[in-house]
Amino acid sequence: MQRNIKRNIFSWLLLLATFIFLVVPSGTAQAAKVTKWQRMLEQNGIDRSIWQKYLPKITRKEYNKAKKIAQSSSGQTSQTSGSSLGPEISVGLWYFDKSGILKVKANKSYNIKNKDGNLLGQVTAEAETKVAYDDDGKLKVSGSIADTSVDDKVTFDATDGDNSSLVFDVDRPGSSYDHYRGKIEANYYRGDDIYNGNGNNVSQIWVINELPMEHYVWGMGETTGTGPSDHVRVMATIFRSYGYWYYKNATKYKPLGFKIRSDAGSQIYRGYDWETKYPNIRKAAEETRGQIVVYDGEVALTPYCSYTDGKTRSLKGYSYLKSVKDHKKGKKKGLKPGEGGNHMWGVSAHGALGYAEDGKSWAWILKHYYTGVDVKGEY
Amino acid sequence: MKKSTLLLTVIFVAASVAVIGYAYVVFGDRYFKAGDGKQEAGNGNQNSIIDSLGDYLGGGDKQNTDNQNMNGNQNGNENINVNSNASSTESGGVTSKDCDNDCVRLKDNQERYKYCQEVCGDTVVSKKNSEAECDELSGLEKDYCFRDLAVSKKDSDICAKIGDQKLQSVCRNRVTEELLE
Repeated sequence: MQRNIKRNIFSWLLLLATFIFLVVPSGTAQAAKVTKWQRMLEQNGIDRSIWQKYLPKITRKEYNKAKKIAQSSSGQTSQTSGSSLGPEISVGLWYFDKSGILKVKANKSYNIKNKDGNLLGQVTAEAETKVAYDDDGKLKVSGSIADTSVDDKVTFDATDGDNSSLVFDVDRPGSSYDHYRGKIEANYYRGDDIYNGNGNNVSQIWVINELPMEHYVWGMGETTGTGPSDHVRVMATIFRSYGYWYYKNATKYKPLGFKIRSDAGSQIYRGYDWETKYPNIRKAAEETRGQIVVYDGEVALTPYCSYTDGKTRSLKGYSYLKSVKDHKKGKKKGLKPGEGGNHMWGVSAHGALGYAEDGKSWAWILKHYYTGVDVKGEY
Repeated sequence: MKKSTLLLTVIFVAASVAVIGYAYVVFGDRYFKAGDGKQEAGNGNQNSIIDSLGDYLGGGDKQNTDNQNMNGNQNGNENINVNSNASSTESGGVTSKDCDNDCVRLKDNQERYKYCQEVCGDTVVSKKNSEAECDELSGLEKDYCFRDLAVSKKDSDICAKIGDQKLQSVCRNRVTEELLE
């Protein structure tokens, strides 16, 4: 009898242990079970509040739904945040040699800083500051402040910290485009002549304009923006995308201190004077603010030309730069690819004008010339 | 054998089978599935993960994601923007902040410092005339040479000879800059 009782107790204890092992961990394991799709949502940093409702087991369908919601809310943010002018791009305006001089004034008081960002002086708007070559790779700052010798770089920016409303007058030699938004820098460079590519060893003092991408687009001197609004939108979007590609990928002019040239070697930028003279470019840029051409999730390279011989040309290595038929308005007889620097890649400006006059939208025109691309709000 | 004992034995055996079965599922799920996940990441699903993250953050951040994965997100800096799927050994931990700061962070390591300068574009491309010049070299020096040759000849096909993925991408972009001018 006692043996039976002992055996029964042993059996019940075993059952209890089984129950504890079976039920308790089962509950916790169930709660902790994470599907591959949940892991992907977490890894992608998608806000948990978006996919919380699909727990405990997230399926592929729910993963896609959550991703879509996250994308659209991210897009909305960039659309409505309103004030973003994009990343800052550095533009090489021109250079002068050891005998030259840069004269700077501004529309409000400005700082003069050395290479390390240390303040050399704060001066009033109309006070003119001069920068010239000093000696031994140094620059001399004078005029508004006592003569000061500095290392190879001088920066001018706004005393009140708001560079977006700062406009410099840089008295550009041989040019009527003297006014530029944002920061101005003078950068001394000595070495191979990268700009002219002639293999000479040179000393150049580069004048560089650093400003937000949108302000850069506003001063784009490639067009007057007098065509139909969709055409100007096309141009504003490709200017921005082109600048953005350089901002992301360009390295050639790094030793000179900037990302992109201000002449036809990259795209013509004429700054504030052009912006105020041809306000339609700014208007179109504001209407398309932050929109860039993308391919496969990356900023697309958006070269453009004035005319073609009836069709654009493909560019090796860029699958979206395929040869496509141009609008009759963009066709110019006798034109040959490569002649006069006309590569015939991407948008044909006059062809795009023709399509815009035909009533095609700016997005349609972009997608016609750049095969398989999308237009996306980047900021 | 008593009826109650028999019943208890049956229940005990059934419970044991359930426990073993359950343990198999739980342990399998906890340990073996994790291994599967890793395998997926290495076999192509990494792209889909990176792609979706790139989409979510915006196209321009895609490369950052690539490099964060490879570099362990060093210093939390944004990484250099080049179109590559470079491996951790290839990236060399170069960030866009390094490029902005003239690679000073890497100055103690001569090789990494030079790599950083080459990737960031701090060095001037030297003219090269033939592949033979590059074939005599090895490692990164060979890669730098092919980059210079590709730029000199404005031929992005030569970039394909570069072993380091990040440099290869820098090379392609650099050739494009030449072609656009």
